[in-house]
Amino acid sequence: MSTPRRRHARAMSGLALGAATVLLAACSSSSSGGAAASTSGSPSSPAASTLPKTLVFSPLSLAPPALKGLSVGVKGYAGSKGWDVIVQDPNFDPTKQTQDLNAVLDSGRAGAAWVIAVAPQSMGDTLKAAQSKGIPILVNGKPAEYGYSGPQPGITFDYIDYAAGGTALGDQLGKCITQKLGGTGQVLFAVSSPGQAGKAEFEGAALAALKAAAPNATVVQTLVVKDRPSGQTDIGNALQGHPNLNAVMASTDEGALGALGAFSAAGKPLPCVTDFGGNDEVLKDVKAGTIFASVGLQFAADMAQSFDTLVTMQADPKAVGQVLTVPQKIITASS
Amino acid sequence: MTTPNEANEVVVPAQAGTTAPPASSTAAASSSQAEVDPAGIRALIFIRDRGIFVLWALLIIAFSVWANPFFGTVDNAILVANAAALTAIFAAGVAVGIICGALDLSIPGVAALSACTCGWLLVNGHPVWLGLLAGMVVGVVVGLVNGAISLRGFSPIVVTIGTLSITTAAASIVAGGYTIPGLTDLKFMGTERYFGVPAPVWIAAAVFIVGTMFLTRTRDGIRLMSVGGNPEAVRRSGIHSDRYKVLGFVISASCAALGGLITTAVVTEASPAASPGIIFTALTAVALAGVSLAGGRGSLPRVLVGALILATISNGLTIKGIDPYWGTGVTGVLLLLSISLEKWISTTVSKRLVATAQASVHTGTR
Amino acid sequence: MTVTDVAPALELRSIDMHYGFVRALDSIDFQVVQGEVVGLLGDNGAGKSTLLKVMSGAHRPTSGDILVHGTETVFHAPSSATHAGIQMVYQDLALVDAQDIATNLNIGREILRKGPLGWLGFVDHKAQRKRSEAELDRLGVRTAAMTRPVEMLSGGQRQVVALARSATRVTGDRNGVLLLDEPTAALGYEQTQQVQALIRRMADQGIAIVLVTHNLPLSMNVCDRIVVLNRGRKVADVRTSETDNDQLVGWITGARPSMFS
Repeated sequence: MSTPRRRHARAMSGLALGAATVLLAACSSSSSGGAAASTSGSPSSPAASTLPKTLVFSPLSLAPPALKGLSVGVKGYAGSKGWDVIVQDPNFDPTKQTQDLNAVLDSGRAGAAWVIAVAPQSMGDTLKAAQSKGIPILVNGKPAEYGYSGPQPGITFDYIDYAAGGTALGDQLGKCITQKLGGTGQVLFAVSSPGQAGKAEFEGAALAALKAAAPNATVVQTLVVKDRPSGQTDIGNALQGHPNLNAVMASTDEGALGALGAFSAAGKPLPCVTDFGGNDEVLKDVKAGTIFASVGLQFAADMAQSFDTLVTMQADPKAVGQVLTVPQKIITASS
Repeated sequence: MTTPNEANEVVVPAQAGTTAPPASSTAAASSSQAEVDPAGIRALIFIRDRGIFVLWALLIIAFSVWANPFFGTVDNAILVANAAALTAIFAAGVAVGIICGALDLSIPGVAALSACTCGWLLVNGHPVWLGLLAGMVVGVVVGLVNGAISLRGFSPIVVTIGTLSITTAAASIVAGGYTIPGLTDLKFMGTERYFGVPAPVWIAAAVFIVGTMFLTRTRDGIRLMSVGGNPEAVRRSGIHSDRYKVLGFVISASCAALGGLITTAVVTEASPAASPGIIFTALTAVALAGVSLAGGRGSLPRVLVGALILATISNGLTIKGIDPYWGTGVTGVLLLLSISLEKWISTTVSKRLVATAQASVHTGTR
Repeated sequence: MTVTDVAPALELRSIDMHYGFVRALDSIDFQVVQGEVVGLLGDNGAGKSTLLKVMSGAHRPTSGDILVHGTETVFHAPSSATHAGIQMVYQDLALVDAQDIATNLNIGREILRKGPLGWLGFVDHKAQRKRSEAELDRLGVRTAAMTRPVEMLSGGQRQVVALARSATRVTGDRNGVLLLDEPTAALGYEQTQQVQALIRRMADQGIAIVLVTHNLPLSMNVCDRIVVLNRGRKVADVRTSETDNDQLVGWITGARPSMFS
């Protein structure tokens, strides 16, 4: 992270550069609606109409089905509002992501940007570039991850409140244990692979909430679940070592589904499972009662909120952006 | 001219330390001396060829003691076998590929595509047998493609990386970008148990029995292994080595397809996410089994034991509450040790053989 | 041609091999009859390997004729030569290391089991071993057990197996031709003796053998006739009994004038 002085200097130079760029852009004819721009000439707010109604969307990668689905959803939602969407595929490569983004931002084809950053620390220059061009940008994560201390002009941060997610997960499991197992239980914590965003705070919050909701439940084993088949195998092995396991707290859908498979194959009952994620199969299981609760991130709602915020920001890019969180929902059999 | 008698007999490795017998008898009498081996060499070769079984036995004993009482039960043994079954099937494919001189990296992609093809058919109302057949056909087709392209002179590794990308993309397309869950119709070959033993174990056993017999006892299997060892030699015997090279790819991809279908059956979900971990686990099992990357040699039973060793370590460590990631580390160390040991044994055996083979009346054994 | 005249197993007439202006072979006449061992000598670059490659079908000569058992033939590829009964034993031996002696000797002509197992392709290992033992006995060499992997044999034993394998492929109703390229290059004294004996045995069985070698004593010991090449030209073609080491060396180095000029 750069020191405050260097950041300040960079911000200053960025603003200066931005002012110069804006002047230049104002004086030259731009691709859309040039008349207003050429007469204003002031370094502050270029007319919003000079920015095209085109969103550049750059997720981590288009490989995971969820992100693929999100890009499709973004296209649809934006399209319904009269916007175009350029979808980029960084394929988990931070350098590719920044390069592709900078290219689109430089070319002026984009009027707004939505980025799920592969490596937030390397996004600094891209953010500055967007700010200087007056292109509103929404990035996923907290301001601190990008080197900022709070909200910024032209940038909106949208992060997943992992602490809240973990708390919900642990709390629900505690509820289940209290309701169905009389308050005591042996818990398996199926966690995500190392290196996942927010893992530490998520797990910490989950364990704390579980302790609070069911003080007599013990977490007897923690297991990393990479994918469903290996998760199912590993949980089956864990079951051998702890034959009295009767509760599973899963950070991922694969963990929850793998646990169900493992217990079923071993012929053992599993009264209490909570899950963080919420894909279709999990939701089916929640309805059927085999999973007690699923804490789901409402990405559809988040997409709408993100897009709408960007549209608003485009009208006034110099205004300080927001800090949003992805909406979260707890789904149980009764909801 | 040399006297016919002296040159009749090829000198045979004799007991270390003794001199070779003067060659005065006719060829027929040499049979009795042909079988004699220096005891040292025999022991070394035993370790090289059977050592992996010994290793597995030792691991079982160690874990039985350490993870008492949970490890040493029949129930757990079945679990280990089940876990090993899946890896073993992929490992069989990788092994056959390597034996034929081709490292087939497209296996995860083929597995994913087969799984998704089968899943798609099932979800769209087609019968189970059709889905399974289609899945296997996918494997055969990809194998043929891999083989055909490699024959043009491209490196199999590069070709299969290409097909890996293509099959992964195709799997995604077939699955529509998500996974295909709810495939409970496949349970009969997934978590269902027959006589107390889960289906994947039966299937893996069948694959290995058929595979071993094929490679060691049938004409085409022997030719396949020979092509892997020295394609030129086989070609000069008037055989189309190219056909066997393609056959190697087809077998490899078919094992991948079968592995993908069984994985799907076990979790009742077809996923287009081709997991590269499959290749690494399979390769580790194959390397543990001493299958030479140079091709031409390898024992499928040892590959099976390699897979069992991996599953045993993972199972034992998980029972003790240690994350399976450590298991990967332990296996890696074991692998390095075992290949070092094998290298040392091979070199020592060669040296000793050369020493005894050049023994003669004049020089004794150097 | 009288009825008793049998055409040579392999005959080359006026073989030329040009690479641009380089004359690798210049109007070479060569023949070898059944049961004869002909040595092909010459210094490096004299053209021995090239001539051998022409005989084995690996190179098409620029001009000239090749006759196999009296019939004019054109070799389009080494496989045509093989079909015509000409087997080359290369220096790399082309053995499958990991397989045993019996398998190596039987590859391409495996014996299948009787009955349903045979239809599935199951091999009768016992019958193959027996057959290989018999073949090696006939050649006068019984090396290690048939089940010994070839990689565990010494250099001399491997050479023997390679030669035996080629020999089995050219024996038949019309014995073929074996082309040997430096068969004893990597062998020690004892092993050279063994290979020598094997070559004579094979010739006794009626195989025609062309032997390229640098080893003059070997050629004197084992060949019936010796042909010397110098810079692409044939400079000598004599019965071994009618020449000696000095003469051969002279022809090889060029100190001795060609027999044919």
